[in-house]
Amino acid sequence: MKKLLSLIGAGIISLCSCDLNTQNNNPNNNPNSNPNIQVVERIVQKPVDVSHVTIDNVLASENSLMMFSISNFRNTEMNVPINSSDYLRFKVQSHRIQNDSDMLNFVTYNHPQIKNIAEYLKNNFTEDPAETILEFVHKIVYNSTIESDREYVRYPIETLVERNGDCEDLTILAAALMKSIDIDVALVHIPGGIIDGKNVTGHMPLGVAGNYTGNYYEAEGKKYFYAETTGTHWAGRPSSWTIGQIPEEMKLRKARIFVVR
Amino acid sequence: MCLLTKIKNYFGFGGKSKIEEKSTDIPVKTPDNSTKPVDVSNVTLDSLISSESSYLAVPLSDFYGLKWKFFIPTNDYLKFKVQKHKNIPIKDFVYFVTYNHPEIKKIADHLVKNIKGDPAQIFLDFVHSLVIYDVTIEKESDYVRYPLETLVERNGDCEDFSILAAALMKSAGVDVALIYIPKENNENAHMALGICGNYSGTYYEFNEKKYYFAEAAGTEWLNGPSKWRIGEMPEKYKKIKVNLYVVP
Repeated sequence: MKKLLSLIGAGIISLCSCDLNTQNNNPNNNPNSNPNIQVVERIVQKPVDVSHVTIDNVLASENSLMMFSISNFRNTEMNVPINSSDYLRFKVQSHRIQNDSDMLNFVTYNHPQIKNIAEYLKNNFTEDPAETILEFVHKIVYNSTIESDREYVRYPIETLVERNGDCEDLTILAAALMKSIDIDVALVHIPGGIIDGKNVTGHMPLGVAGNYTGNYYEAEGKKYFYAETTGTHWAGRPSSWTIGQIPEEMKLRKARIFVVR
Repeated sequence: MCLLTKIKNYFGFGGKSKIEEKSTDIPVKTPDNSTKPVDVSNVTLDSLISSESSYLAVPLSDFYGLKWKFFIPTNDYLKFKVQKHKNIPIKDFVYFVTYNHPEIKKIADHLVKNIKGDPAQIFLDFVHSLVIYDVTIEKESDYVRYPLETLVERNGDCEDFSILAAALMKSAGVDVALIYIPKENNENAHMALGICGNYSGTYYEFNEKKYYFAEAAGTEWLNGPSKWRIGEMPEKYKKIKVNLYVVP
């Protein structure tokens, strides 16, 4: 008894294997009551509190997969599973850059998951692969409006899993997907600053080499056509920029081209 | 718009600086840079840097007419990720029902506020619409997920979905229980929900309360959301004795 009381004191009561069959001895009155019940009630403490957890190790994440699904991507349904450990391996990297050209380090086009997705998109749609990839990026990730730290640069796998990012994150993702299937791409850095007396923010779209029309930058003897990766803010309303289209306000801005090698 | 505001690092590449349609005189320069993408294949996961600035977006394109996305702080997700997930005794699954987590509460509140109808049924439909049950890729069926993990990973099996649905319901004040159906004959073990409320159909009675059976699983790739409603029970489970764990 004392033991039971102390258990109650600790907030733990176990009522094990209480067979309630006898309480349902007239099943005709309760046709839907399911008498096959073996009840175990445990009054336990509140659910685990993780607010003070420090992240010093990640357990057994190999077994956990993250799915992202795209419905109605050109009338297809896609499910792309990503190992959570793949995601976490990027998460532990530094996300700061020293020089703007360090952005190139983030274009992980040799990652098998990136290659898989790019090849899937290339093989399953007849349209130009670069256009398909740009549309894919528009469809699945949001131009982040809640980004509190603008200097946080994401790896492509992170952007895929987190499904949001700002301009350089989306451009790095699109660049990695395209480069993984041998499309020549460049990160286009349009610096911010005071221009014509106005303070403007920097921007980073993508440059895609290929048979396109519209606006392009020339570097190393190749034409890199402007491709805007941002603009998607709401589900079901993806950005509609195509390769070669440039937003009016970007036309007169200086740009630096970082070719992805 | 984005981070590239570090003009102090910018050495303007002079000359004509316009971009014009089909013009060839755009002054661009390619930095001499041969860096290869970083290789992370040998990274050990012994430290995670602060990811406060990073959020996980979960979109729900058409749920009761709501076009909606919500964001979960990556740190919150990771804090659950580092918890133990394997060899959890079934009686301890109720510990996974983190209904007091602010993110769970936020989602539950949003759904209740914006959709008319019985909250518990809405939460059940929500879980059906959001997660994809694909047994073919679940390598380890005894890996139990916390609700935030299931939300972010959008994947799991029956206990993960039941735990997520239970957390949403409980956070909105609905009395719920986890129902464990042991392995019997050729039928695999299973987990579903018991929900107190004004429903009809199959229920379990316990402590003078009726816990109506609810199937949280059933959504598979391409086949659309599961259609089970509160009170509906698959025929095959009707004769099996179950364990009922009331979420405290």
